[in-house]
Amino acid sequence: MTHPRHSSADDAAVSRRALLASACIAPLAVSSLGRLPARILPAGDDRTLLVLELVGGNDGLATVFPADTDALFRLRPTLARPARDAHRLGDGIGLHPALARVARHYGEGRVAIVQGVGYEPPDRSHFRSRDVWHAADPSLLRPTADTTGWLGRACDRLAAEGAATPGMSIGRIDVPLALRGRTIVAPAVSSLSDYALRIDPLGDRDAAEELAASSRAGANRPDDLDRFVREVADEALRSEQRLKVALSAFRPRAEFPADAFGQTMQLAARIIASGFGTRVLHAQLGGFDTHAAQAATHTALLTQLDEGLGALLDDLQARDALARTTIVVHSEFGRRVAENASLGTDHGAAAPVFVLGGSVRGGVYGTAPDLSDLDDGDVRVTCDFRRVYADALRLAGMDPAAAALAPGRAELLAPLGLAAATPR
Amino acid sequence: MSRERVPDDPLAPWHPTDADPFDLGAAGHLFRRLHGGVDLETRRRAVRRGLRRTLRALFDRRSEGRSSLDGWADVPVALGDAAALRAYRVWRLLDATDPLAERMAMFWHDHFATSIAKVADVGQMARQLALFDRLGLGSFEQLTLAVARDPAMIRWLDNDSNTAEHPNENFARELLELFTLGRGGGYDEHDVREAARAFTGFDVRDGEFEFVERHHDGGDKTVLGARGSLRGEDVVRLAVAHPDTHAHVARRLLAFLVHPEPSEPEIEAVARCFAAHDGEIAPVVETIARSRTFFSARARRSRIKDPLDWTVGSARLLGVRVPPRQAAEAAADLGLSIAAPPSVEGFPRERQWLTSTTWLRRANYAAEVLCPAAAEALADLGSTPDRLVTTLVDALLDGLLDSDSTGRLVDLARRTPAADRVAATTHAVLLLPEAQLL
Repeated sequence: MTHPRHSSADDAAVSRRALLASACIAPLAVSSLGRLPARILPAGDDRTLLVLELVGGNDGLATVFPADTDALFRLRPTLARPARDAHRLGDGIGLHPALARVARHYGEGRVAIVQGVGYEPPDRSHFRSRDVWHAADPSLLRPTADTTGWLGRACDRLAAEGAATPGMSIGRIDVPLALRGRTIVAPAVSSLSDYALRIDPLGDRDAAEELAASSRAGANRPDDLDRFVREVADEALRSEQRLKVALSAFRPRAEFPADAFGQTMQLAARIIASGFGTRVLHAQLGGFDTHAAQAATHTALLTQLDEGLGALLDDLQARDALARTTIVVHSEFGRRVAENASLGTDHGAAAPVFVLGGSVRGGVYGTAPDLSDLDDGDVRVTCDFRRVYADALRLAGMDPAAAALAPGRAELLAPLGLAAATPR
Repeated sequence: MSRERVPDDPLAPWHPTDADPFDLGAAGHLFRRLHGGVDLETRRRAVRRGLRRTLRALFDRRSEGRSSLDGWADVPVALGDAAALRAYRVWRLLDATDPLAERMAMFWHDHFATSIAKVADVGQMARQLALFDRLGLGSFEQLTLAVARDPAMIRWLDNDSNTAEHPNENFARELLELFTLGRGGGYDEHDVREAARAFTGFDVRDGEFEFVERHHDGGDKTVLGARGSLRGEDVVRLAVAHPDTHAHVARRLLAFLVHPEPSEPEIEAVARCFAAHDGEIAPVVETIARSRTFFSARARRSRIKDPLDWTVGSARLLGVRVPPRQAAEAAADLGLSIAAPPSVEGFPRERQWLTSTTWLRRANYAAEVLCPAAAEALADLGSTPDRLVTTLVDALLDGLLDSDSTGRLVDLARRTPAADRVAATTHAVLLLPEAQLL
């Protein structure tokens, strides 16, 4: 197998750099930061979309309590209890007591709750359902190396328009399927503290810009595995340097929790505040698969969500960055309406999706769950999830068509009207 | 293997030719995929001995899953320390008394993914992994039966709360979706519910499997078309015998041994082979490893090294020693924490392993652990830059690097002061894209 060549490789005078370029040998810390690519501040649109995935299947009926509390208490005698202390959203609808900060922002008109979101027919497998949500493709059976995600496709478009690092996975070392594109390779930044090449056994510090700027075109495998590895290395070296510079000036404007999720939300604030140019962020909060003794676990999870997400909203609001930020909070499915013998719930179907941000027109959207008309014991799907995606993309200034949410089925993507007339 | 094969049979044995010889590249591929890599001298010797004798030696496994480190198995359990268990498993991989069995044990750990995060018992996790050592190359039916009765699995997928009165579908669902028929296989929600009833009473008492009759639902059930007063063992047998299971296991084995996305004819051929050997795993692995599909250009370097391939495999390729605990922790930092997969679906796979963060961490592990170890082990080559580069490229890349890049590596080695030369050149080779490929 031959090795792809860098175009300037035959220039003997820069053989060292050419080796770095073609072989992506790591450079180390750049001493002359002034020589980094100048594109720290975005040229144009700086609206950002943060997608927050609650992994495991969040119980929608214990997050947003429907008005029909009689039916709710009949079907889930213990899990309906917090409904008594819920934050009132109007029309009898209640928000879980743990979501105090979200409720405050709801009261200020920048939280939209879309009810009954899912896809038909619902799949109650975590893995398949997550794949469906990530790829935005209800017909997807099994992802392959070619499968892309809805955010990855949106990022492909942004990259084609010149964005350097359009998308990023934050708080994790992996990149979710949602962020996998055809052309882009999104970086994963779990935390800034260890996002660094620590040691330089080569002692050579002058080739970084060459490397960052070099094109690594060319592949010698039909499945472009070489290109993929090169892109990852290239993105790592580039973003490692640029992030350090761009995020160094950050001072939090809200108190972020010390736990991992709180720190991930702070990282989101840093990236959005810095004008780093990344317009799509993906983060996760896990543990929502509450088959047993759900009440305490779920309350703790929603508290964690509320504290982290609330800090992010407060911080961005304080620095006037909330109007250009849209946050989507979703899960792979809701849970069974009736509670089970272990005081938990099993996998369900539809659930509410939250869309938050300074340009969002707050309120409750869609059809309220009808507890007297269930789908095999689950809340029926009344709103295709891709419709919410489409509105979120529009809010963030991106074209839903670029994300290929429902090719040839524009009627699925009719706007829900989540955009506010004026930012708040 | 004795069966006559038609010319387009993907499992037809590979016969090396002058144009397509059993060389260092082929030997490196064989040992990486089956043994997680081996040192350069062993691979050179294999090339000299030829394919036939190499394969015979490789499948003459007298140790049968035993390790020279078996005597240490109780130490992490006595300590109750998950990190010690991870270190012990990595130590076994490095020691490699039976490297194929060690590698298959990790394959089944991924397939029947169970995490200490919920099991919360080092001893039970250690026992499950030992089960894969023992049965990982035996009968898939026996393996799956043992897993269904394994205390860690029973806790992990809530079968200890699966009773006639309150059935819990968790184990039954994953058995069908992940362990046997596979996603999209020929089962539905009804099969899941009925299978769950069959597994009622599979419980754990005093740390051991126990069938609790009074929790078992003895009524009639219909699972995968069979009707009767089925018990869990019957469901395992029905599921394992299902053609979709043969195809599912075939796909997983091919993705592990050959290519991440095997073709349908390849899957069909391996599924037939699996059925023909009554679900015995060893002969299927051997047939795959002898096949021309296995040695094809499409298969070579078609996989991304997983964290253990990087931390342990690289050490084995270089023939250097690395501290097991450090390698195990590094693998966990790269996303593969032994005994703690993120979900029952298993660890990440292929391209999921490699992100900007993990690339930086791989580079840092190379610089901090592999390069100093190489500097010590290959110190003799520090005075001969040309031989150093040849040796490293042979050891880590099967000698497959274009001459320009090789020339530039030599240039780098020559320019680096002798004291840093081996470490710096090793780092350079490990950061080549090809070094990430298995």
